[in-house]
Amino acid sequence: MNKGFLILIVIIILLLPGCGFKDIDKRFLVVAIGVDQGVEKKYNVTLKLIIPTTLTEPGKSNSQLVSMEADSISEALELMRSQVDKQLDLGHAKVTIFGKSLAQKDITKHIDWFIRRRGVQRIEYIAVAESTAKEILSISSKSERLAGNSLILSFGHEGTESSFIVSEYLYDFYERLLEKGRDPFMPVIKIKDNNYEINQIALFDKKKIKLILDPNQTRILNQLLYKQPDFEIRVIEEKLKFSLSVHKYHYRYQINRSQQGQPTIDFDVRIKGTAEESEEIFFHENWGEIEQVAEHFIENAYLDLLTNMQKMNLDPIGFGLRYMATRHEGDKEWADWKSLYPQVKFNMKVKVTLEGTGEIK
Amino acid sequence: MNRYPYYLVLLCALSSPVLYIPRLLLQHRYHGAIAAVGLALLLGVLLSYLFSTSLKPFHELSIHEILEKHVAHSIRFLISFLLGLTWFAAGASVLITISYVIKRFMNPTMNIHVLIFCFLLAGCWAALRATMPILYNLELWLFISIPILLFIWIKEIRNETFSWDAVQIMSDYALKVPSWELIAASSFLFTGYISLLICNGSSWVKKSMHWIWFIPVIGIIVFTATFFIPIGIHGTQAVDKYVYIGVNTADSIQMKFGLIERGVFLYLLSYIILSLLFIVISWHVAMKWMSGALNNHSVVFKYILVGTVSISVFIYGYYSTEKQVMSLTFSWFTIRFIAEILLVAIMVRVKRRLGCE
Repeated sequence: MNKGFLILIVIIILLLPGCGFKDIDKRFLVVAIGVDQGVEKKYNVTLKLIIPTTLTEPGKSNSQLVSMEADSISEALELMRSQVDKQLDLGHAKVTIFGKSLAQKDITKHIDWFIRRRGVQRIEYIAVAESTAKEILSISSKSERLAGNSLILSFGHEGTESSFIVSEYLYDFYERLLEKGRDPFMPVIKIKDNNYEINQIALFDKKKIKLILDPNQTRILNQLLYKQPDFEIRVIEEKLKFSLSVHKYHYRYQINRSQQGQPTIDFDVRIKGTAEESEEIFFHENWGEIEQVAEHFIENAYLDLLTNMQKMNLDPIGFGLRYMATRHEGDKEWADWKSLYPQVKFNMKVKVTLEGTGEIK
Repeated sequence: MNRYPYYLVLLCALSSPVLYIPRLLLQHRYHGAIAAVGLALLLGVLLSYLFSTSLKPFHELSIHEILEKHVAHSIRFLISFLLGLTWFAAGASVLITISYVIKRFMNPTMNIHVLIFCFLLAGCWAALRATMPILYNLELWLFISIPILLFIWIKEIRNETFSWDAVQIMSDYALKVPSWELIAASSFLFTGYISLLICNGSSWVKKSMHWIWFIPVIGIIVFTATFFIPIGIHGTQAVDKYVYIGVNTADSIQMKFGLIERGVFLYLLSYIILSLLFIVISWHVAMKWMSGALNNHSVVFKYILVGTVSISVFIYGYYSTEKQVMSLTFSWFTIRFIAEILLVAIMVRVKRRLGCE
């Protein structure tokens, strides 16, 4: 037994090398993919490749950009393989950026490659570029340690935790593209002074961009989607202007269908925060009045955003899904909701609790 | 000694994703999948109860000997042969499926036939061992892979983008009438272990009936994890579009600060372990049924049997495509269900006869 076992092990060891494994210095790690409208052909695909360095200091990130025009994304990748000397490894591609002109036409066609191809991470972040993806990929901010890292840190909320940045995963986008009660969205990346500025969100119907929200509305939508606290609200009324920094945020909503036919969606929002910047708050004033002013302002802001989205027939928060979940009529719920949504009336009830006025009175 | 039936139940329930049960159920999610599982649960509890009570009078006899003594020769031959073939087919299906999954998610340039061959070698060698070492192995690997699977399921539920509303929508469709194939497929979750009890059959029968509660509980937990979690993460429409729904759902987990960022590798790890275990146990059990059928318990016979099966599986793997494997697995469920009902019916009849005499 022992001799046979040894011979077996020797044979197995002899068969081990020669698998399809390439060393890391024969691979090019792709860190971001950008897809734009091509000039001569359908797509212009740009890849951001990392050049590994021995020292990772801020500002010394090295990267190489390769782009190619072709009629399909897979063909573009094939052609790019002939342009580089090492094997393109898509396992690290964490960010995908679409050019705005592509997203304004039918995006279901362009996203097919990303979902269908094996090896593309489902948890990669996707975004829309303000102009073209190639521009966004070609800048690298001064403090970046690794190429493409600043986008990953921003979207992953690992570096900065901003309430303006709404991150969207590829699998979530695909889910929202097909789901009956929710609509997809993507953040919009702009370039400002050689830095990224991500403070807007693009809302899609099932095919293309319908609406791009301004930064304030983006912030409100972020709160409604992800319910994360630690953001700021700037309350501006004629009597009082102050900034409220929110520590606790929670909301609930219910869809009510009364007999008269007009459905209402009743929101119940609870906010607790402290004042951060103000011109006119005093510690000994009646905090009830301050809270009321804030509540009034926030209600108006939310109603504004929700009616805006309703007018364009967009529903990223998922009211349709909630309607179908709470009714038990089977297949005709979706047809009902499609006719009901434009007539829905939103009722907001906001409760603001001011916990303090900050460090000074 | 009495804990091994539990492990067999767990193995059968947890191997359901490799046998495409979630995919079948999700395809028919609007046409009675949940009701099918409910009916299969009731059937499963009934069959398990009947089987356990019918084994009670016999002490220290294996199922073969019971069948030999109390059942007509032709019926015994038929049922043993049928069950043997069924379990060989199960192991073969899982083997080819897992080879395809590995090829797709680990290294697409791999030669699928080399992969099938390596799995065949490992499976055959392990299936020819004695029963107890295989079961010890089962216990060990279950203790390793179940926590990994639990971790993945909990992380999927606690995902920010998990939509409870989508799961609630499914409650509208819970009372549609299912087709027989759906019931047969979901019954695998609850009754799969019955014909696996050939290993030392009645010496494991419990004195009390309380262990039967374990079977529906585990089946329901695994069903909810493999059916509702993909709906929550992918929504009610996109679940239909994925070819390998379990792996893609696990791929949607991001462990930001973990060793490996993508959850799919953990999932594949546990499922490769579970599939190998399933192949080994199903072939071992199938060999026992076949030796019982042909009444030849020698070692040479086992080698010949395993050799024939391996060659036929290899040829089948050479010429088949994913689609064929899937459709064959679906028809296999119906055959297995019928074989199981036949076995339980025979055992109940044996007990009745004994009781009357």
